Amino acid sequence: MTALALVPLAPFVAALAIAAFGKRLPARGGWLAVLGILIATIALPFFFDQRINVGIEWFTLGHWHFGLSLHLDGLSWALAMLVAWVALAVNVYAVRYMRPEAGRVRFHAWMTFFVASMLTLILAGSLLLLFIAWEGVGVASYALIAQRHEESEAQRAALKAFLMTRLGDFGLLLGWLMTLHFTGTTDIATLLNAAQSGSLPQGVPLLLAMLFLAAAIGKSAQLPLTAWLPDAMAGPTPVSALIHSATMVAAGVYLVTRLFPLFAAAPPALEVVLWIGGVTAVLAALAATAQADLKRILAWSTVSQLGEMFIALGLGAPIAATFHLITHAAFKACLFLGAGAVERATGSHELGQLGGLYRRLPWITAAFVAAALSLAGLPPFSGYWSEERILAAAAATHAGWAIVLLVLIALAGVYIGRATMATFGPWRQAPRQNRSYKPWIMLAPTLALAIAALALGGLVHQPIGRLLPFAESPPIADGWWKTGAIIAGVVGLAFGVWRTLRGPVPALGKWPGVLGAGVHRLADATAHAALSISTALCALERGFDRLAQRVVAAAWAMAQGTRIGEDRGLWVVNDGFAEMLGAAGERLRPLESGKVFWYSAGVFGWTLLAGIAITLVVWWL
Amino acid sequence: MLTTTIFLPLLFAAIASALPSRNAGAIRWMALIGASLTLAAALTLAAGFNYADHGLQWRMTTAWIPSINANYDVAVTGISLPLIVLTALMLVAVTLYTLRDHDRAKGHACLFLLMATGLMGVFASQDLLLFYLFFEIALVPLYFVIGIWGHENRRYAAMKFFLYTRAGSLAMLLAFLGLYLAMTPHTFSLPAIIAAQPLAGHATAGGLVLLGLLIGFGVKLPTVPIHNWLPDAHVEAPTEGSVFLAALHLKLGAYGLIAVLLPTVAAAATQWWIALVVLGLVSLVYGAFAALGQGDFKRLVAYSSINHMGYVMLAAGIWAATSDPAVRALALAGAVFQMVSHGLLTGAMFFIAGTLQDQAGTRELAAYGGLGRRAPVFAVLLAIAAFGSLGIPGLSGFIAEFQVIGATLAVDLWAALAVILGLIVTTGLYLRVVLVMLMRPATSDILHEPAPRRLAVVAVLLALSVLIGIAPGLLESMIASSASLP
Amino acid sequence: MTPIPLTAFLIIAAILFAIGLYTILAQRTAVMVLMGIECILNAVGLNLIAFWRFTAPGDYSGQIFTIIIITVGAIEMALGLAIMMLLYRNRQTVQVDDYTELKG
Repeated sequence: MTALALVPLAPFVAALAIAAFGKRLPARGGWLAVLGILIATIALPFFFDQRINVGIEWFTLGHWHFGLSLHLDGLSWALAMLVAWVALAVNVYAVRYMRPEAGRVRFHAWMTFFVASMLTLILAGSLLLLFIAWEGVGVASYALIAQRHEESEAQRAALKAFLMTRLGDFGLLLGWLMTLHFTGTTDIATLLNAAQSGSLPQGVPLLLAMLFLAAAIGKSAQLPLTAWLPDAMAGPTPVSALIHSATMVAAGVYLVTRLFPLFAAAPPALEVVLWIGGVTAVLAALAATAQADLKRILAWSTVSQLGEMFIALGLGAPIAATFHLITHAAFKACLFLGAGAVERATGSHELGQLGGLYRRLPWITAAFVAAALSLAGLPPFSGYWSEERILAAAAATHAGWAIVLLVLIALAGVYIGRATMATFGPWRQAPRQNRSYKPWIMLAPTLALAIAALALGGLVHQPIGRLLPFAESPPIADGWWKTGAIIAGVVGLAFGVWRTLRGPVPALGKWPGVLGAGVHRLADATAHAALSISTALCALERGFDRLAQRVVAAAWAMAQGTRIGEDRGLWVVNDGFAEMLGAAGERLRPLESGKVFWYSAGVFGWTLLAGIAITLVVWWL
Repeated sequence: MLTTTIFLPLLFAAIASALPSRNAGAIRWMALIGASLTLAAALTLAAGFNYADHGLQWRMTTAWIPSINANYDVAVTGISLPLIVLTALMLVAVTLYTLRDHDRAKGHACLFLLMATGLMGVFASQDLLLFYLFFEIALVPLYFVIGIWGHENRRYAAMKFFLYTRAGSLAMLLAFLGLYLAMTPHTFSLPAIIAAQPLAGHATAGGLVLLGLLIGFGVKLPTVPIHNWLPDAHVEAPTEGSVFLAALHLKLGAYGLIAVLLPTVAAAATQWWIALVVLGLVSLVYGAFAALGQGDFKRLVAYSSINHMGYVMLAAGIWAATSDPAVRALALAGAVFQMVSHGLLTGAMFFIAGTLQDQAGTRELAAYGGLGRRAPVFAVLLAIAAFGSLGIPGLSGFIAEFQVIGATLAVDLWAALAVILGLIVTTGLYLRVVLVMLMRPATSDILHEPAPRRLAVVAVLLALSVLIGIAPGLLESMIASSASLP
Repeated sequence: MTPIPLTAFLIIAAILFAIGLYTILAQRTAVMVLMGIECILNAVGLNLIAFWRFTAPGDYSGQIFTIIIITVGAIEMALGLAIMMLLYRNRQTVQVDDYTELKG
């Protein structure tokens, strides 16, 4: 079934065509991009429930085989579908969104190239191809963050993103080279078989898992490689929607999921995954509640949600992680597209300059709210179903992690409630609000994603367990946890909204009065603590920045030191030697007077002395 | 056929020198014809390469100095043939690039043709004395190229270059004599020495010969701490001179390391493998850091060459460290691939750097801001070269680097991590270049798109890098047929 | 008649040599310096022929050697004078002290 290659190739060819002829195409290649992705989107459903493994031998060296192969199973099919559809929606949206900007050919070409690389990454059957695609999405991300390259902020963000993710990438490089060393191929299936059958030497699965985990941490912006993702918001909003929330940053989660049997064979690695995910998720959620910029709230929220997926993986529930990845992609892309529309309508995404947009952007408001509710984990929205699965896995292993998850759900409610109210809420009015803003090319994809955020979870939460090649886990947490999750979501949302209001407002209904002063005070204190912690974490975010800068500064200082050592040290030693020889020559210079008399006198005098010396020596002997 | 290829440039140098000096155009065209014919001859050699034959091919032997048993003995292997083709290719590129330069064209063209003969001769020699002779033929013209056509500080740079490399090649000659004397009957024949391994049982003599060869090839490679001449030579050399220096002259050291040092004193190399590995790692990391600290573009590329050539030294060390033939083959294949890849990528990079220097009159990175807007095609080529140099898949650098890292990993994880450190710094370094030159607003309007002929030269080199990056099998199979050295 | 002893030849040669040496060192004109050189050469030639005559008169190689020296001396003289002519043409002087180009 080599037709599978069509899926990544169609967008790739489109990317090349846009790069070559973009200037002459409608919408500067935007529609061609959509066409290329559409082909992939249409082709994918035909491969439903198939197991395909096609590949070519790239080259061989001795007994080492460097193969490039595509591998299709339930997992890669589901994620490829997700990537293709979200990419389709975002690219349609981008045609209109990008209209006022410069460099559109570049944008569309890189965007399509990204989709091709991302599809390759997901469908890759060999680690080598996966690595190539992994670097491909990294380069595309770099170029797209730097899209508005006149802004120095965008330059710095692009540099930071590429460097920090590449730091992790080398884990993947070492990982697949080590795989090659131990199995002779870079085939993922071979590696997983070896890991499961225990034929790898002692300690190797753990080492490999840690190396791959480094790559996953970098791509998915987990601690300590988090700082780049919020900064990456300097790119255009469709880029944030597609790359920095829905697909590329989820590649880390996908990598761990894909290699889950390897991680399962190395339990300490899973433990590390769990803790990194947990700490990141909580910190990022707290940080999100303190942001003043709509896109940055969403970025921190993405980090937090990815952390939740890591928690799920660490708890041994890859199905839950994948499910949450899918629903998260839908609702987070929808949120970003909404934010992009807000940005186009008002020219800003600072919360302080927004407000009251529900009148001007009714459809966007509806879509944003649907996605926000999904993020807050309210039934029957998608987020509810996937969070339930993670919660079920946590409740089955350790109640502590289940409580962490409840906290996370509540925090998600707080920040997304705050963001939604501050942007669309009816009490503050944006300065310019008369003109209604309804470009349908931007609205349709947003609404489509909103519908996905609404219904996708409910539709697939049963079949997904059968589709994925992992052991089934309970889809729904039992009674108490389930109720707790819903309550956490509601409380969080309500609290977020309330904080934005700063006082009783009718839109919230009667429940604050009913709950009474006691609950009020308790929640207030907790939230105050949470909010003050999260304000403190704003400093932490700066700390992440500073840490990254510190490392760069240290590297710079080291480089300067090397240069100085080079200039003052080795230079002096080497040149000093030459100068010493030169000075010696200078001393001897007067001997060469140029007078024939002295030369001839020297010759004869020397001969005379030599003759006398020889005579004396002979006589003495 | 091989002899024809080697001496074809020399023949055309003679023809060109017979033309009147006033007619610079005719001389340049004659040089171009000579270079093209050389490339055609080299490609004929490649077409006739027998992949199943692991020995010497296209061999030709004649007595040269019978009294000391030195022969004219040339042949190619899968390791040297890619380098011969690369030499012919770079000769064409340089001749094409300088087609309209009329500053003392005769001497210029003849020196480059002479250098090509020397370089190809080194890559083909199977006799150590002949190797030394060709080595010097390749070396001396470059001294004049730097000294005559170079920039402000050229005398200093040329002198430094010459002194360093002379000292190196004398150490090498002593080592060759050591090998000669160890053989009974005395001979300079490389295959005979490899077959006999005369110093296998003599730790001291073997170590001394190893040291001599290491100094000789280490200077040319160059490896830290004897790399000091390279940045100066690169900075002061004219564009085409630095291209030849980076793309080909550094390969003399690399080739000597792989094809002479390792096979002739294998036992000593195995004993001292740790020194080779450490030298390689230090060059790698030091080169990367030193490059990051530079504000001078040519100097930056020069230091990154030290970083790139560190891979070859590392690969040689890894080869010596292990006895697993598969790992050895991987290390050698990576080293040879790196030589070709570095020749193409850094050759292109120096064409770019030199053109920029000629246009802007300065080498400061900061002065090149806004290149992306002023010269978009040139900027794209620069970006491709930069991303290729930092090892993005799709270009040749990636293939070379992962093979060396893979072989290193099989020996020691920590060494591999040190390589990664170098790679990360290199990434930051080239990203900085791209950032400053492509994304910053223009600081002046001096920069402009160079002549299409020059753009085409750079584009062809990069296209070849992409070609062997996407289809490495073309080169791998050739290398692999010889990568299983003793 | 008593044959002239070898010592006499050697003494004459030594005197000749001393005269040549003095001429070279003391004279400032290039022509005189050349003549001094010629004297020294002739002293050497006289020594050679005397030693040949007194030690191995049967072997003619000594004689041939001397003839070669005389020839070389003549050529040298011719070359020296030619160089001097050129120098004079360029600088209008044959005083050796005026030529200090070799000064380091």
